[in-house]
Amino acid sequence: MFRRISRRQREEFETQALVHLDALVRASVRLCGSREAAEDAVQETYLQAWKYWSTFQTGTNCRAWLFRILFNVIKKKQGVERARVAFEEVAENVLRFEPDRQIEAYEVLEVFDRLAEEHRAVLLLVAVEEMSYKEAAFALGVPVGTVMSRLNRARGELRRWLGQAKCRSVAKAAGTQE
Amino acid sequence: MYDCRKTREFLDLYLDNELEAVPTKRVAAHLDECASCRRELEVMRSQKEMLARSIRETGYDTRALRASIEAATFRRRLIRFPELAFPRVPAWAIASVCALVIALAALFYLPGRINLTSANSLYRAAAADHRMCSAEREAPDWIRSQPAITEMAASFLNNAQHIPLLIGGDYRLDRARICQLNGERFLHLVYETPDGREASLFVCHHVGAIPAGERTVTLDSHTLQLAHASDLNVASTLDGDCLLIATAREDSVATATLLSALSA
Repeated sequence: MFRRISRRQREEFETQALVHLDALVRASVRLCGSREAAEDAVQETYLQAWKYWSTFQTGTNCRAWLFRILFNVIKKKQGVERARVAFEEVAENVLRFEPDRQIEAYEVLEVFDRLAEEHRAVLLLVAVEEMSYKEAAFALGVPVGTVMSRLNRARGELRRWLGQAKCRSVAKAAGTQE
Repeated sequence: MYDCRKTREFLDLYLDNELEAVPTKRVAAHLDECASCRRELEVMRSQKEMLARSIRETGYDTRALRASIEAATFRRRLIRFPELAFPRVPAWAIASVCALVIALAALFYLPGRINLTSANSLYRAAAADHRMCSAEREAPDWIRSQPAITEMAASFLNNAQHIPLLIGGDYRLDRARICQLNGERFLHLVYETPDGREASLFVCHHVGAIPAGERTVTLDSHTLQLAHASDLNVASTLDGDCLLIATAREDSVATATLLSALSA
């Protein structure tokens, strides 16, 4: 009738679920577009995870499970149009990098945020979180084949956009020298 | 060994370590030979690392969010199920408390219902009241005139009983009052002999107030012999003192039993 909240369950939740908080926030910011919306989504994700914690089997992939919840939460929350990450927010984060990597980081993030949501999601899982295709497929709720094809397209698009950004940077640099 | 076209097909999988053993060897063999494909792989790897670095190293302070999540998960559950907000009580402790409550309820409730009052305690209370007869003989609550006693008895016993005015020849009704024995109201009638001996008769309207079953009771080192006749209990001490406890059902016929008990 009642689920007794034991110290063991609480510790399990802390050690298995809450340890992925930073990763979820990182991904959520890149998907939601704003820090506030991202944190709302992550909070909702953890509330749902806690609600169904008794159904989660210890030893299975908690991170992929949390990402799956996160993607569903974001899908429900987001309207048709995704808010873009505010320029100031990107700049503020980028400024934490070493000076020689600020431009690179800013370009990468700017390009990344322009990708389609499903491409961003698959890149976040495989390239950033280093999940296997199988884990990513579970998190996204799609077949492994879909992960592979999305990943291929996402990488191609990222490369194309990054190439253009590089060209702009070079052109800008050349213009400054003149 | 794969050619360039086949190798590039597998480069994504190779980069992400998702390729099975045999194709991995073949791709690796081609990469050893082909500088162009190696460059392509390096570009892909560099892009992957750059992306990962840019996103991973964008740090966010999540302490407030973490606290908020902990509050909203653990504490919310505690509020929803208030019993969990208290230290966990073992099941055996809850069971013990329940058993104790039931036992106490049974102790106070059942005796009145199923007539389990100890005869011993009733006679003990009656004897204590009897002993106070002499000490409190001048107490204001005694009614002394026979008409008033008869009227009170008629009222107390629903006007259906005859109380004996004289028993055993020597014992004459002297005074009466209402008393409580074990929480039950009794009419306490005191009879006196000319030489000062006293006998008490306790009459109760409620039949169940007088328990049956016990036949001997020890009071103040005196053993009381209890006679039991229907709803009548008679106790007499060995030294001739006596207690009579009867219910209102006893009519004048029962008086004969009282008399015989006294004379015995």
